Amino acid sequence: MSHVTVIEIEIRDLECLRQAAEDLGLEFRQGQQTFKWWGHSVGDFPLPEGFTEADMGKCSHALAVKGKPGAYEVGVVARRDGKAGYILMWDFYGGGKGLQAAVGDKCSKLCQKYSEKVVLKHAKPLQAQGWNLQRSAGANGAVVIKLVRP
Amino acid sequence: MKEITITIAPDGSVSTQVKGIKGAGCKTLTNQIEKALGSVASNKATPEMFEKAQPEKLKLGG
Repeated sequence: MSHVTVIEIEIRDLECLRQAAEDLGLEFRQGQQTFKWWGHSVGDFPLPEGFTEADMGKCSHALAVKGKPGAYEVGVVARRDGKAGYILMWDFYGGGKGLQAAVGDKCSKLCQKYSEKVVLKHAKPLQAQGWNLQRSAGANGAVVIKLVRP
Repeated sequence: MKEITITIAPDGSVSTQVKGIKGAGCKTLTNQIEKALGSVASNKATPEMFEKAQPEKLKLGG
């Protein structure tokens, strides 16, 4: 064994996000500046760093559930905490009118799929060097990707 | 046998584990993937990392 690393995910690759969304039945709406939500914050949850209530519903791009025009949407919003990339914002009240079923609780399904897309994309140079890639289901819903070289 | 195992938890967080590679070369292998994913929350070197790599073996893919 050589090293073990734990990584906190940051959404930076919009193409991987688009592919992840498509796999889960969502449409990536490039350049859509607002996302559908209830429309008013009742202040029961803290907002992300750098955001006020006036910013709610505004985004750089949006993700919409295909075939469910009444569902709320996920806003892909540029970060304001000094880091590069985006955060995902969505209204989960009442399951987001069908949104949560597609993206998972706390957008977990979408985040997991996004991470997988990023890993597969950046594993390609290793595959070109002779590493074999194997994907399998791990414990407790995890996805395990192994790169093996004799 | 060299092996990189990438585990993606149900919440999207990721852990990587490298086996069978001596020296700091193990970090180079996963660096691109880790950088693309986000920030490293923890990084634990294992004894193998501090062993000297054997260039001849690496060149041969063995």
